[in-house]
Amino acid sequence: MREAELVAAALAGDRAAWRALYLAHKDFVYRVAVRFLGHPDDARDLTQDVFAQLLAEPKRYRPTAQFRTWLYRVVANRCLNERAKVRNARRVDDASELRAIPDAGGTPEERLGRAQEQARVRAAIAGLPERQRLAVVLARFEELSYEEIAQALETTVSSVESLLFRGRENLARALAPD
Amino acid sequence: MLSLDLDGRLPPGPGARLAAHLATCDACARLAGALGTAWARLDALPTPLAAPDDFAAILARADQRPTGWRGVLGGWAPMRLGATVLAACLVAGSGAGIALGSAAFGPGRHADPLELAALAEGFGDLPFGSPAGGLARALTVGVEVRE
Repeated sequence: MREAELVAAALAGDRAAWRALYLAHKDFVYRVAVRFLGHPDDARDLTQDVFAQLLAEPKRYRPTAQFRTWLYRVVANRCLNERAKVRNARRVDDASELRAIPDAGGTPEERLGRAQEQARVRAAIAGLPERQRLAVVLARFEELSYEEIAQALETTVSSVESLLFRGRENLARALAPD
Repeated sequence: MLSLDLDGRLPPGPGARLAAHLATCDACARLAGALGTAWARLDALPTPLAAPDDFAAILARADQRPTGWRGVLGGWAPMRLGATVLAACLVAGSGAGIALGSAAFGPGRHADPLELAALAEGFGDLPFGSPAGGLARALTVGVEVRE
């Protein structure tokens, strides 16, 4: 079944169609959330909440937009709202970092070095202002186009260009050698 | 422009001009290098594990979410409702205030009881010398004395 048909069936109350949409998109939502929020448990909670909201309030969906575009927007809004809610409530810690990453092998020193680099990169991302961080996550990891990021953040393409440039600058500053 | 170039979004003309500039400007070349390196270092983060299949939990959450009027009343609606009631009260209060003010201070006021009493006597509604007329005159004299 094509996605448009799935969406139509889902909006008509077909829960099997909702499940198919969920399975098709859950990993995208989770990946964005885990990279934006920095913690797998928060990301799992946000993923559940995004789809529960879609299921409970399907009338919010505007059929003029593609489902995926609409989902980008919902996820972006939820990430920004969630971040405001949990700001400073939970720090990214090495333990949570390691839980989310499969062991890639190597000597203990290599693994330690990788873990330290990952922690540093994650801290640099976490230190970005929220909209910059979300733009960076969507562009760098999800490879969304500037136009798609603009739709997700409900802004213009030139604003996205600016967000990404400033995001890169801030990352370069945070990752510069001491 | 550097960011656009790193994302491959710079058209050929501006791209060539930028490359020519970077070849001669150490500061911009350093900045471009730093931006590119930082972007590449994000590769250190592995792809997160796949999201667990939580559809059953999502269904339970969706069923618990208020919908319809419960949903409307559970979200921003109380604030909107409160604001509407407040606005209605302000409009009604302002209207009533304007109406009362006009009656009390406007050019056509006839609300003073002494004036009403004198008017009533003048038109014969109260007989001259009646207790009401006397009281009205006494009060009028009192007012004049105080003034």
